[in-house]
Amino acid sequence: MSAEAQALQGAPGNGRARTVDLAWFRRRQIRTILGVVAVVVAFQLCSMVCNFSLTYAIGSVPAAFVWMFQNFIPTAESLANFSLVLEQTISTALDSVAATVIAAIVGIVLSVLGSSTIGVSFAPVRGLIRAIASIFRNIPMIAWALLLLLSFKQNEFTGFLALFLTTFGQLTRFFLDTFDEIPTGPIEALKSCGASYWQIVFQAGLPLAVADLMSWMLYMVETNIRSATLIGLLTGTGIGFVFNLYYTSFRYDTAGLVIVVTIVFVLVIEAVSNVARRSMI
Amino acid sequence: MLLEVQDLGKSYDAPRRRNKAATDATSGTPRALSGVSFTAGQGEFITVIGPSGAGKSTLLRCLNRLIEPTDGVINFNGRDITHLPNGRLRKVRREIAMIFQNYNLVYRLTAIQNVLHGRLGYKNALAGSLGLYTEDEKARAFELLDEVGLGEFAYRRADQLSGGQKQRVGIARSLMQDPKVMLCDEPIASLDPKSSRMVMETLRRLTRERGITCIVNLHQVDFALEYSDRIIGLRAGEKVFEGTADETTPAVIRSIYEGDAEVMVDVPVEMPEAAGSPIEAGAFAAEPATGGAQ
Repeated sequence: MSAEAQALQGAPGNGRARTVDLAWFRRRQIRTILGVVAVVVAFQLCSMVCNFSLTYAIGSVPAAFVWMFQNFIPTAESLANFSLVLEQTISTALDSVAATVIAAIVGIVLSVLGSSTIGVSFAPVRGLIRAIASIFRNIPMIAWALLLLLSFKQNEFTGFLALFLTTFGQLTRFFLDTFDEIPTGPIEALKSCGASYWQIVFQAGLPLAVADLMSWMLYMVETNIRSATLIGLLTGTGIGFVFNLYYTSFRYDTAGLVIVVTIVFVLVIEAVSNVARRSMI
Repeated sequence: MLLEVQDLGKSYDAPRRRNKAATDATSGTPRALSGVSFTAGQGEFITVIGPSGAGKSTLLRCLNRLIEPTDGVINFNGRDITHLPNGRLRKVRREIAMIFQNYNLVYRLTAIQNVLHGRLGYKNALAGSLGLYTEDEKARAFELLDEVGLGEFAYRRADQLSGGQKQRVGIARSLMQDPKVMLCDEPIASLDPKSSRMVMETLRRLTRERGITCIVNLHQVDFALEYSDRIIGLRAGEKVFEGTADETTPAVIRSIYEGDAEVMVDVPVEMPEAAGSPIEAGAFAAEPATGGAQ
């Protein structure tokens, strides 16, 4: 009796859930097509407004590459500068490694305190840390370099500081996300064992996060070697300065050598950090 | 009594006590826990059963104050721990171990490191943070791993162990605390039947051989009936039953899980009488089949 009543009650509900609507698929297709058309139209409109011609742009690419290769290929005489280029590249790379590592240390401390999982329980402190990270991250590195040039003049420390400040902001942000995502179970477990705050941080928080933290740090080392080249242009130091020197004096072959050495360096660093990452999983 | 719980309550929406009655009456929000009282003696095996959301986990976590209760008193070892400040709470917590459904091991560390975590409550901040354990503690950790049958897995990382093995590491970790009470939150919910039995057997052995009191949340009623000295039924945050396994008849179980007002129990001993005819009990047993046919 009661089962029957239940079945009767259930029936209309089931009917509603199984509504057959074949037109639904067509409506979805139409929506997708409309989306694609909208993107194409928007592109055309924007091109018209700013006088951009796609065909001309594509057509001129090969010529540009040919010119680049003809001028920037390092020549035999540019190799005379090789030792200078290498020395400056190494110095720039070491500078950015140092800036990144120190930024990472500061970032780890701040992000532990600011995380939602093992952070301090006083919410305003966590908010403040997030705000600081955000501010430093969102001021572009070039802007930092220009600002710092005024007070620290053209030297390696200015570049180091510009790298450090942006990296610190960025890493703190990445680290906060990493710590926010560690499982809370082990933390709860250690708490239930009677562990104190710092014991939990060092025995559960850091071990659970360390692989991701290192991975982000290595990523920033790679990015920073590239950025450091650019910063060197402004601060008149390192490989960026060497590049600028030869570039502005039309000695493109040596400028090309700088580019090649930098690329090789970045690739080597990337390979090394990939090995490091894999060994840490 | 080792553990005495009186009128324990937890509500999330009304932190201020003077508003409590008003909130309960007007909003009608069920409190996570209300008016739960029970005692646990040394070496007792108590299981808490009840439907999902009945407050079983909240109850267990209130006992070691991972969750702060809003009402009631918890007496542990002759001492009111309900409002102990942090420093002294740490000292109490090391005597109340806990094991979890998801094992909650630090999965990137080895089994032996996880077992040693049980000592953290006894160590100062620096030694604990750096993982500097004494030789005695290390030897004891290896002993305990051996005891739960995982001696050869000491250097294996926790994420490479099977579910049953992880739970046994969890048990070894809690024994490392030299606990008087062990709170077990759904310890076998993620395990296969064989591992489940192994874990339950281990827990029972602890109560018998070491006199540790086990309070276990369970979903598996059959296990509860088999292993418990005493069973507590929890529904909608309230204790609706307490009795031995023998007293926990199918009708009682139904009343705990379905909340049939007529067979609700006040005096556990009289329960089987009040439960009604055996036909009703039979109907309960047959229900899964009818449910499947629908």
